[in-house]
Amino acid sequence: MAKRSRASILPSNVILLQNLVKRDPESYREEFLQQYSHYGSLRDIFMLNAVENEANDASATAQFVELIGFVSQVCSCFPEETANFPNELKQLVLEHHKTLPFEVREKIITSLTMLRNKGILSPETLIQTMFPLLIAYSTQSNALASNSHARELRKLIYGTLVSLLKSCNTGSKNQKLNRSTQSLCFNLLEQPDAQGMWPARLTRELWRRGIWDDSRAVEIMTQASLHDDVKVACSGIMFFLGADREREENFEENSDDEDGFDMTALKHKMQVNKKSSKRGKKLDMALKTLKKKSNEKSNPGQNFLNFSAIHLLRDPQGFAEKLFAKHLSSKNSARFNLDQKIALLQLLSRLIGTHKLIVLGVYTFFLKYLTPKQRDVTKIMAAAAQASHELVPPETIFVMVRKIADEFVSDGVASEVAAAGLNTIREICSRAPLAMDETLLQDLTEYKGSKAKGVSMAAKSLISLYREVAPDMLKRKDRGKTAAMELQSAQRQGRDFERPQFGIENSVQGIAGIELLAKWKKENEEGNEAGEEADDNNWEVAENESEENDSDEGDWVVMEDDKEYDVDMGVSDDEKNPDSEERAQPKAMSSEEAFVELASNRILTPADFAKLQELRTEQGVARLMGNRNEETVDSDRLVGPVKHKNTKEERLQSVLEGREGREKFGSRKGRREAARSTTNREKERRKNYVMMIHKRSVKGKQKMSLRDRQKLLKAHTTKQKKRGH
Amino acid sequence: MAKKKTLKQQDFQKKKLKVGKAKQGPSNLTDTSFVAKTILLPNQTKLSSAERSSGTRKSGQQELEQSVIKRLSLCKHHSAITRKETLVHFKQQVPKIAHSGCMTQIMHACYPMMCDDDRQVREALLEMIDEVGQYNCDVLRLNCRAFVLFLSSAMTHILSPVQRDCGKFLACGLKYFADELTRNSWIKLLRGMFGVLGWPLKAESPERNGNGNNGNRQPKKSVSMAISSASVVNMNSARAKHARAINIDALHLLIKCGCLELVMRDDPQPDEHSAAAHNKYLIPECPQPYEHLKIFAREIQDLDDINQSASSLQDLVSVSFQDASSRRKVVLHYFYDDIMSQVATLIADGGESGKSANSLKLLMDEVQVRESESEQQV
Repeated sequence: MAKRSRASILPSNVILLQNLVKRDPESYREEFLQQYSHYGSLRDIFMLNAVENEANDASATAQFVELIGFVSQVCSCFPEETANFPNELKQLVLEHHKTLPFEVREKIITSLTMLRNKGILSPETLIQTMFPLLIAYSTQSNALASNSHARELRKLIYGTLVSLLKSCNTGSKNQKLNRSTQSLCFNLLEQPDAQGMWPARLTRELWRRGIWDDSRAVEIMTQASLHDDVKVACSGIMFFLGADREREENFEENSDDEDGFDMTALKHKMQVNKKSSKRGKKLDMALKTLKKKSNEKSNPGQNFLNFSAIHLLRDPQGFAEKLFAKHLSSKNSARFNLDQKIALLQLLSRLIGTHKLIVLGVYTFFLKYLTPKQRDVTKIMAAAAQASHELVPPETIFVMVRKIADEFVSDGVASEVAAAGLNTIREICSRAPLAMDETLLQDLTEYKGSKAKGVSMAAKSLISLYREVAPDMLKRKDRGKTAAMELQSAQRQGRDFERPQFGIENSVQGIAGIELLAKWKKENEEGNEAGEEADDNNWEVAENESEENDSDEGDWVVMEDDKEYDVDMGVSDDEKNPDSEERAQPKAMSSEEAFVELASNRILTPADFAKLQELRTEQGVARLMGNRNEETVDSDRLVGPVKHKNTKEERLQSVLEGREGREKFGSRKGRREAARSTTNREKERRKNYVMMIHKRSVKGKQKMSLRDRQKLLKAHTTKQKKRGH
Repeated sequence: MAKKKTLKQQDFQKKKLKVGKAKQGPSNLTDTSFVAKTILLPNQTKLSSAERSSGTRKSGQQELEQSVIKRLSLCKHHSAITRKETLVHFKQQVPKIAHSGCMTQIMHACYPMMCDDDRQVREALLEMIDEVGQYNCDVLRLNCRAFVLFLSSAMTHILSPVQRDCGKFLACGLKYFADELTRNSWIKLLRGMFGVLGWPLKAESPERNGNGNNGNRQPKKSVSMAISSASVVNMNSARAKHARAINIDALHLLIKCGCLELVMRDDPQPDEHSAAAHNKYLIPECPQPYEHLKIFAREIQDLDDINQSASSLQDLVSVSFQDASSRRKVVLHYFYDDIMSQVATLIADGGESGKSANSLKLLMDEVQVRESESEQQV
């Protein structure tokens, strides 16, 4: 007891003292002051040695580290005495970071972080300390110094920065801090050395986590992409190409943790499998996740404005022009390797396609790379397709189309190459239909009779594209029934069939998605006569209510095991699969027609708009489930379906799979069903013939008439066969 | 059957050697290669005694220095006995190498041992410093700053035996370079000694920060234990009592040197050789007009200095006091009352420390008289 009480008064080590001071700061003030001044003297010693470049011994270092931790833990209890402590630490690490031992530096950095968490140090000060350190440790001279542990320290500092910005931005965004940090990033990016890597990395990370989601962050990455240093530029480019996907994956991972829903597998199945009734369930699942996402959005804590980085650009035209001029068309382009150039081209084409920019130099630049022997040519072709849109003069794009047709689509090339070429041309022409010559088109459509499946499919898709856009450019037999009839009627009436022209825009008017609503109305007209009468009620539907209805649909339904349910598969399928009906009536209603039809008949109620929203969500689901995004071109799809020959292992594996759970084929000769000894009969049969030859039973057989012998032999053979011997 | 045989045979087959190819290793070969940035091979070199190998190409003096420098790493040896023996060895060598260039290195290696856990090591260090002071006290004067740093580190050490020995070191230092000590680190040393003796300083309590130059001090409001670890230990053991007397004597000596302008050194004939060598690097004897700027010292700059008035004790720590009268003023203003109150109780207790306390009291009275005299002159 006495010992214990003495121990509680007399701390013999710093940890114990820390505990005591935290419990009762006033009583242990003297002890704290003593340790504080000890810290001061040790600090002076370290600074002296830092000047003289002398290594400190390990025990002094350990003591100093311990004391720094101690003081920073308890300094909130003595704010007046330790007012200068954070500044001292800051000064120490900023001025002597080269000479201090690694442990001390690490401890100072973590202590500063702790002081920030306790609110003693302002986040601005911490960032102003961390950034110079980060830069200092990534310079060559520091990193190469022996025992500097620069890599670990960089990691530590970077992690500190990220977590600091994260914690400052939870709840409400700390705009002041964000702005000051971003201006630091801008300053760093203005210097031409590789230090620009850090702002780029930081911004990417914070964007991925949804902490920075404004146009300033995007502007930082714009600067980074235009940076002189290759690494920095590539980091910026990859941000624009992959940032949104990364962010979505980040959030998807979170939702995956909750219910184990595998979106990618579903997507894959949608691509590969036939459409079946099972699909409805999967559709429901996808719908649920979509709803979950929208719920997350409506949460006040995490309202991310989910704009993609490309949409947040302040000056897309300027950015695209600078990107092209600085990195691709000038001499500097030699610095980038092919992969980086492809990434650059992808970004540039995405920009051009999304914002409908005009950078005319790109199309001739593509020509150089559009040859079948070029490595990764499908990616380049995809970029070429993305870069074309209807506002570009068709002549410029046509050069590219011509080149692809010459290089890729001829009899002398492999079928994959031809298919890729045709698919690329289709993609380009679906964006810019005028970039096509009548003769060239008719030449290309000849490939519909190709023996290779991919080639013929690609040619047919080209035909079906032009059937909609400009059927008169096709050969007569390719035009199809409806288009041919329209053309004929136009001729009969003596007017020209109108071809699309450059510069005449055909944009969507009215309400987006109204054709969906019109179709839905038409379907429900027969079944729902009372719909008109309930029209008045529809006006009172509030937006919230429709959301509630949505959530009601998604609730769990209890299905008991021993009950029987009447399930009308046909009806439910019809209700849940708008796609199947779409297939039933091949020609979808255009939005213009729908608008005319609906708007002339009736006034749209809020309920209608709610339904419209619902229908559009469904369509969104379809897009989510693997149907193509219009903006981007997937380079893997350009080649078309390729059937590879299986290797021997694969074939053997499939054979073995087929044999599973099956009896072995083949003769059962000499096999016994159950283990037993030989029967007398078997013994008799196997007995040596010479021993039997003189027996009466055998000799009698020789005296038999020919006919009897024949009979016997026949009976014998049939009997043997029946027994299975 | 045939297959089984071949399988068995494989183990005992002789590997054929092939021309132009390296010999194949056995199947149970273990790969011992590794990749590392730096490789440290710990090794020990046997120290040969310098005396034996003298007379070769190098001169004996150089050999001696070399052997001493080789031993410097032993100052950080884990065994206390080795450390002590190294110090004893240094002490023996000091008369021969006192004027050589390696002395600074030796002092820098030895000063950290002021905070050593082992009592014998500290005693050996004290003896060694004393020896150095006898032969070449300019070395000590040059390294005054390091001495003060490690001394103050020892004064605030968490182990009380280390604290207790500080008085001896301080006395030793005052014996040889009192002028430098009192000028550069007057308040630091005074505060340190207060901490060692376990005397609370009223000037440091937070209440005083606001009204710095108030004559009648307010009593402390906070309930402090007023007994620090050092004082508790001091009360208990006989050795601690003896140490307290020594510490009070050291404080007495410090105040005496600082306030009464007595020259402790009695070197009537300064070494001609050393004076020529070191004088231009040393601070001259006369007061330094620019010393307070601390151009050559590396210290943490107090950013708030500009805003506050430099009246509180915290701020005065980094200020140097060049003349005796200002030191007197500081002592009388900040420390006088505390000393007198503590001394009173000690005198009442009597004993060895009572005597020392009494002499300290007499000294403080003398200081006060001296100060009032100088004020009257002005």
